[in-house]
Amino acid sequence: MEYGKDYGKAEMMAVAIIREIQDGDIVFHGLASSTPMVAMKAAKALGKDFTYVTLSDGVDHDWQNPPKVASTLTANTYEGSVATFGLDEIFDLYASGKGDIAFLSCLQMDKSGRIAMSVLGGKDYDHPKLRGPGGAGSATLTPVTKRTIIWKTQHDTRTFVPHVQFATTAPAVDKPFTVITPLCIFRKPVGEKLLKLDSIFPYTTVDEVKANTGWEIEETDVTVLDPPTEAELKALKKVDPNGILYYEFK
Amino acid sequence: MKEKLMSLSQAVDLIKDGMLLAVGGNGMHRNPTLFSLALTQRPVKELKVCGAAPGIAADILFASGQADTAYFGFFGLENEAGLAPGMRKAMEGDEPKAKAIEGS
Amino acid sequence: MIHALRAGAYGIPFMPVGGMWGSDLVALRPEFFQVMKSPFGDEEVVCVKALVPDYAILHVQEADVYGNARILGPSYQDALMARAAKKVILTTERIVGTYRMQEEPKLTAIPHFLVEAVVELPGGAKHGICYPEYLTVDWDAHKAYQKAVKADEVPQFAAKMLEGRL
Repeated sequence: MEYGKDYGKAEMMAVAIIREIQDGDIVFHGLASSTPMVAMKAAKALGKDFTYVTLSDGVDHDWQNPPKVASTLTANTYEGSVATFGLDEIFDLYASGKGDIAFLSCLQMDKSGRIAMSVLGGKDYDHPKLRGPGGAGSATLTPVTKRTIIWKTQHDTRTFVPHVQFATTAPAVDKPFTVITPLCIFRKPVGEKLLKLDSIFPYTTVDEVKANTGWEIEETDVTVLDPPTEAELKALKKVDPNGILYYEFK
Repeated sequence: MKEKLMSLSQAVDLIKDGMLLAVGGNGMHRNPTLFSLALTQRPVKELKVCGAAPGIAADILFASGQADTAYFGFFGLENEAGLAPGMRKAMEGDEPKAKAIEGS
Repeated sequence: MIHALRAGAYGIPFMPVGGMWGSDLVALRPEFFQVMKSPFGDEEVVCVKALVPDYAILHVQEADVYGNARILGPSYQDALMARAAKKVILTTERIVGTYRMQEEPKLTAIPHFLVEAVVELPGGAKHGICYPEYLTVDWDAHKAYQKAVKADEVPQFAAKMLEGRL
């Protein structure tokens, strides 16, 4: 494998996302999802043969059309599509067990993979310190998606906390559940309830991951992922000349 | 078929206190924003809004204090435009003026 | 929310939802969510209460004077909202001839009989985006809006944005 030279957290995270996608998968990302959008376009550029659905209604849009803004509700993921398939139809597709991957995010998460999207802090749900945007479909999709993958571009103890107060959604015991951060990948194996540190990125250490995670990490001997290849970095550059990937990393 | 053209003023007057409104579009996209702005010029109150992803047009009605309940899966303006400021103002803290009924 | 609107559109009091397991939202709002056993087996399903909006307020790119409406680009959940609501109010970028609909009827997202009002309102989605008419947020207006929210001056902001069109 030939490795590209210049990369940082944004590229590595995008590459980790790309590597989760397999030929034949049906893959969804939601709104405000610039990171998986750029990664999925790059996966297309790399020749991965998967189906791209999203809530602009477009199916397999023209990935060569570069995004101009971080919003993933624009016609950028609509133009050049081969069909339309609305969010209501996507919910049905996933509920009937046909959806392979949903890329979702969170405000906070705990070791059980319980996700806060609704509220943070304050007295209770109806008196929060911060009202978030809501689950945006994650409560519906997480329990029914074959491989739910959470992407979160911050990795710190404010995000990965000991206990989430109000869980907008939580993983299904009988399904795998993956979390991709700028430092590492956590995975919840099928049949288990807790996240395990699966692998770390080339530029970090288990100690750094531990220091930035609000729950106990017991794993010590984990895989170090390969850095991005030259082809992966080229694909990211090709689909994203306006640098939308970096929006979440400012 | 019946002709239904009317002025913005006439259309806004159809909205009465306590009505439940489904607000179209998503985030900052294709929202009936001017209709909402026009509603703020009327005394109508206690509105309920619903939508899979209410955005700016619904936010205006919370910012103006005219809506008291939101049914939503996502309520925000997305990315560069940020969280929904009117909704947050109405729904955060010890004495919230509006209620969130979150679906998915 | 999609399922609640669907139940409204179907004329039934509630609707089972695929998913929702593990969410604290279900126990939080018993007036909106209930868990029930399938009448045909042992499976449990989360159910959501129907929503029947008094009006769906939708902004579209093209409508005729009768309320047949086309949505260009992403249509989100607007057609479902139109079917769930008692009546629809349309604001439209432009009024088009009914022949537009007759050319390709399936491109009509909302048929006239669901609609009570049609308002010709170019720029009706500003300061937001309406594909393919205006493709970027008017950021100056958005900043002014955020300021107005903070200062409790949204009706004053609105008066300015409406430019006498009300």
